[in-house]
Amino acid sequence: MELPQQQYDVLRQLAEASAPRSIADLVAALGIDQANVTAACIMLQQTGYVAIAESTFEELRLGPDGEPYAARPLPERVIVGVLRAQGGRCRLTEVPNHCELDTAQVGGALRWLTQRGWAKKEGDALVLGANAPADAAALEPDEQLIRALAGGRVATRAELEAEGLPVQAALDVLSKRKGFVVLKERTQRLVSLTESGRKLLAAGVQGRRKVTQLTPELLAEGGWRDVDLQPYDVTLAAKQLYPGKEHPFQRTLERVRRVFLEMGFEEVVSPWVESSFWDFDALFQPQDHPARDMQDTFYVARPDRCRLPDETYVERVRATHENGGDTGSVGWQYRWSRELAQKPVLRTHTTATTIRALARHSAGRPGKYFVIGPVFRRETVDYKHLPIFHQVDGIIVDPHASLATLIGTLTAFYTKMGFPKVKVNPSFFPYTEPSAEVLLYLENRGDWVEMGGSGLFRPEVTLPLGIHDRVLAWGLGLERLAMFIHDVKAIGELFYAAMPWLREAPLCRA
Amino acid sequence: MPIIDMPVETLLERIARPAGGPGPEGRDGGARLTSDDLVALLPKLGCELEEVAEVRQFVCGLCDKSYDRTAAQGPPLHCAHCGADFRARPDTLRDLGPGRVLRLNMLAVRPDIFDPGGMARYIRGYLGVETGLREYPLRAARLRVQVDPQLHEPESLRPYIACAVVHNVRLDHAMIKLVMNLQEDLHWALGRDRKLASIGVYDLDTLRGEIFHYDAVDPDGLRFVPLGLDPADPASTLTPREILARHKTGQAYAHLLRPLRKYPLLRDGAGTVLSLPPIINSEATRVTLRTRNFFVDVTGLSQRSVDRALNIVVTSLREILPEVALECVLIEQPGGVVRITPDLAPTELTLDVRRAADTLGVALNAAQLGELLESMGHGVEEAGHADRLRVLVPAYRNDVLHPVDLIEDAAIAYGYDQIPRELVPTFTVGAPRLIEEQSAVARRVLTGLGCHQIMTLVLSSEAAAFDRWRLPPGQPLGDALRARAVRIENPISVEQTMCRVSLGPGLLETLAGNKQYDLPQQIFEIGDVCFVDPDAETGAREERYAAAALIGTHVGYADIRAIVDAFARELDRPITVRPVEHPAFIPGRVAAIGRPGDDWIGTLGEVHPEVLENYGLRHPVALFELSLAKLLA
Repeated sequence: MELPQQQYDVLRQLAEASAPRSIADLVAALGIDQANVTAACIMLQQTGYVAIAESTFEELRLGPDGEPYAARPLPERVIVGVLRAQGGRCRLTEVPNHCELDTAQVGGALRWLTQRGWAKKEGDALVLGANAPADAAALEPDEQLIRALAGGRVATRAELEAEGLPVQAALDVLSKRKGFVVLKERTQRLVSLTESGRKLLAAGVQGRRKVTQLTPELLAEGGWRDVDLQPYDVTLAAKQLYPGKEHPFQRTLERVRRVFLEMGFEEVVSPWVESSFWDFDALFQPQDHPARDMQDTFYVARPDRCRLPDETYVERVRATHENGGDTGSVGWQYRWSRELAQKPVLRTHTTATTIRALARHSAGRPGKYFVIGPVFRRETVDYKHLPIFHQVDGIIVDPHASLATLIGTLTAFYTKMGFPKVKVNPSFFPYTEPSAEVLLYLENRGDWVEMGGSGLFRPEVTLPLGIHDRVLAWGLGLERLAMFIHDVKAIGELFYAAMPWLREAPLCRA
Repeated sequence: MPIIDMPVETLLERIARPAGGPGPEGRDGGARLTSDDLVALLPKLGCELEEVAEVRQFVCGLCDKSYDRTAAQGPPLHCAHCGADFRARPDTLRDLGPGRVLRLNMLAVRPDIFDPGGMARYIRGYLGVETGLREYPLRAARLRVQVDPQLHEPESLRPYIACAVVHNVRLDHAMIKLVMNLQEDLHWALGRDRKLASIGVYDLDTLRGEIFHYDAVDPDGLRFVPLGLDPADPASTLTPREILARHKTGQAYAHLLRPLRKYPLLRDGAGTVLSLPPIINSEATRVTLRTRNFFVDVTGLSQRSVDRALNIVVTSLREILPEVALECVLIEQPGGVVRITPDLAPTELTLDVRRAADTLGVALNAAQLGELLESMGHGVEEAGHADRLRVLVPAYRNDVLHPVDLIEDAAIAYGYDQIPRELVPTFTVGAPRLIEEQSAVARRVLTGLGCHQIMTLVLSSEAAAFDRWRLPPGQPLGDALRARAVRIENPISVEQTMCRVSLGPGLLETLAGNKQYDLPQQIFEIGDVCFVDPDAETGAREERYAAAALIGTHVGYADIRAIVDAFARELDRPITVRPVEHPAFIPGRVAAIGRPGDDWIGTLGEVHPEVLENYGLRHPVALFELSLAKLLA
């Protein structure tokens, strides 16, 4: 038969002593925590090997006002000494001259002198009383108690009485002297061995240690064999841990990027500060088009002017705007201004990037390009709009470019992003013809949602670049897509992120 | 993109009208649709429907302008047409009761479908009720307009005018509203808010004489009563200059005339003012419920826009009111040139059938393609060649610049949902940008070190980028950076006046916004900053940066140093670290990060307490920021 080590130790202790032991005793004897001893005793009580009896007792110690008199006599006894030395009588005002008490202390002692019958006042003099103690060493009960509690001693009433002190008589006096002695009522647990406990010991029960932590020492010395490893409540949750994470929107941007790379696209880039030429003119947007208003587009004050690309191309763009040039178009029929084309803007779409890629593309060859990046619109901020958002723009230069391959490509892209239901509606965009608005079906909303625009670049866009193949083009918003994927309600939550969201948004969602 | 309100019942009624033109000779019934049919149909036609809205109709008692207002909008406060103040004079606003409108989100490209007449024409064609080129009979001109040569001079420039007469109109409030809405929508879509083209409609029977005058006049030279003012009140008679200063509409459009020395003015043969284009008509020639004949003018800076606007107005009027008769007007331009307007002759374009079929990705022959185009209102003739069609484009279409525009029409008629979905068969190799791949590795390092990525807005302000960082004007480090910031000419808020030149402000703003959550916090951002660069084509360029910040009770220099060292090690780029002075950091706890050949590509250190105070932060912050592009170079 084995018992946990501490319970066994408690039993042994109780067996060695004949009388019941208090918990405090056991703690002192075993040298382990009170909490562990109490727990062991309670376990033993539950199994019936020990009995625990509770008793109350009084505990005494000196209060702050009593403390000084543990080492010196009470003021009334000092005054008795003075009176004796002065022949049994002394003027009250002169008492302080004969001892170290001040006037106030002398005044305070008068009450006790009178009450004990040690002295009484006669006029302005103090006269020794009949009961005045003759022997300075024969202490009153209260004085004895104060002395007994010297040095901060804490003692039970029973202990003090066992020492022969007249505790009750002392307390009767001291209870009137506030702050001299503190009396506290306490409870004590006494543990005693029961009959079955005695039998258990007699039967040769052994102790076995229980440990929480498997230590290197236990492993090194093989001690683990002799101990029990404490079982845990394995259902309890541990603390929350979060790995460092990429921003959820970044993960969506990365996924978009990966999808286009998988589909054979080349990644391209262009500057945020863009000339009006590449942002608008190259895309056949007339110079008085509302999209070019100061209302909608951020113009740049510094730098204040952009260089234009090579003159032949600029000239073709001018002609195309003014009268169609040699593109077969009638153009916009106005005077094109070079100065307006040089005005820098913060790019309003990443089509500025793809049109630049198209300008670098060697005519006659197929090509696929994409860009992911921020674009800027002069929008008032609300839960759907910020003046900055991200787009993915793509183009395909190819002899097979058609409305059919446009819709097919967009469907392939969104299917890879996890949205297989894609629809296009006709629309009227300025630089594509035909134009198609792209919509996704969101299962959780049960509705179609607009994602962006697409189409085939107009000949007025491609022919000035010498590109004779048709070119598919699209520009799709990415914040919206990310908001659906990450279940974010307001666009601002992406860019003014809260730590709990950054920590908790699951990594598997991209 | 404005919202166009189109009355549902009027549109349905126009779609259902018997084919074959006006009057009893129409035999075939039109299409009977419901408003639900419209909701399903409009997106297929390129019209984005916002909602079908229940509205209340109000009408201005002074100028008969009507308003459709939802319950949320409430009644109008003043008249957008004549400027009457309905709060001051509630009796001038009349409530005509409830109605239903389609709220269409329209792009400016197709102003010919902004009104129920034009929209019904479009839908009837699409449904095959009435296809091919529509004929609009025109009566010979009776009136002439003489154009003052001064209108071609820069100091009084508004050279172009086109006019028409419309007989036999019958008006009610709804019809007056349609006419006014049509004008306003065209002002926006074609007229660039009245600049390129502005339209006036007048009661013909108030006009005298056969020779009208379109002149450039002295702004103070004459007086008339503008629309909406009481002719009985002598104070209503104003000079053109006074109209710009005092009349509500005058004030709204004053910027169009202010730069001119002489203002355009249209008068009849008796000298009665019709209008001060493009500002306002006269009260004397106002259209009322009793008006039976219209005189219509369009003036502007673009001949093309002026002509198209007139074509759309008169053909749409005829679609809405089939009984009207259109009559031409002679325009006598300077130099003896005479034009007859409106000119409703179609534009002729040749369309390559193969090319159209290839563009759609659908096999179509000439006959099929011709049928599709006819259903979009075009006339189609054989071009004497099996692979070509001669297409007659109606004069009300403003968007057909090139044969490719016809291909889109064919695609809409074919149905976008019928187009097969295919991929180009051409093989191409995907190619990522190196800096993006490297940035992904850099992000992996920092997340592995327990940091969370943030993404912040790339626009910033001088206060956020410099002032809060103890870099006031005059501080050399700050000034050097200030000089490199891209500045926005027309910012929309004080917080976004420049492109960011540092990632630091975004990091501290994010920490400031997360004060209530557990510490420590470790965040980073990897992204572009933007610098003015005279060598760059557009005058500025981006540079990829990386930055991280730590906040917590015991955060210090050693923590951020450890991260910087790990970052450089994992990217395999040895760095140097040397002490520097930087006002944004605690002196003696800041260092420059360097690379061979450039001893300051970034900074790390403990942020200065004053900077922390500026962000309202109550715990120490250590951060680093460096040019990732330079680190990796």
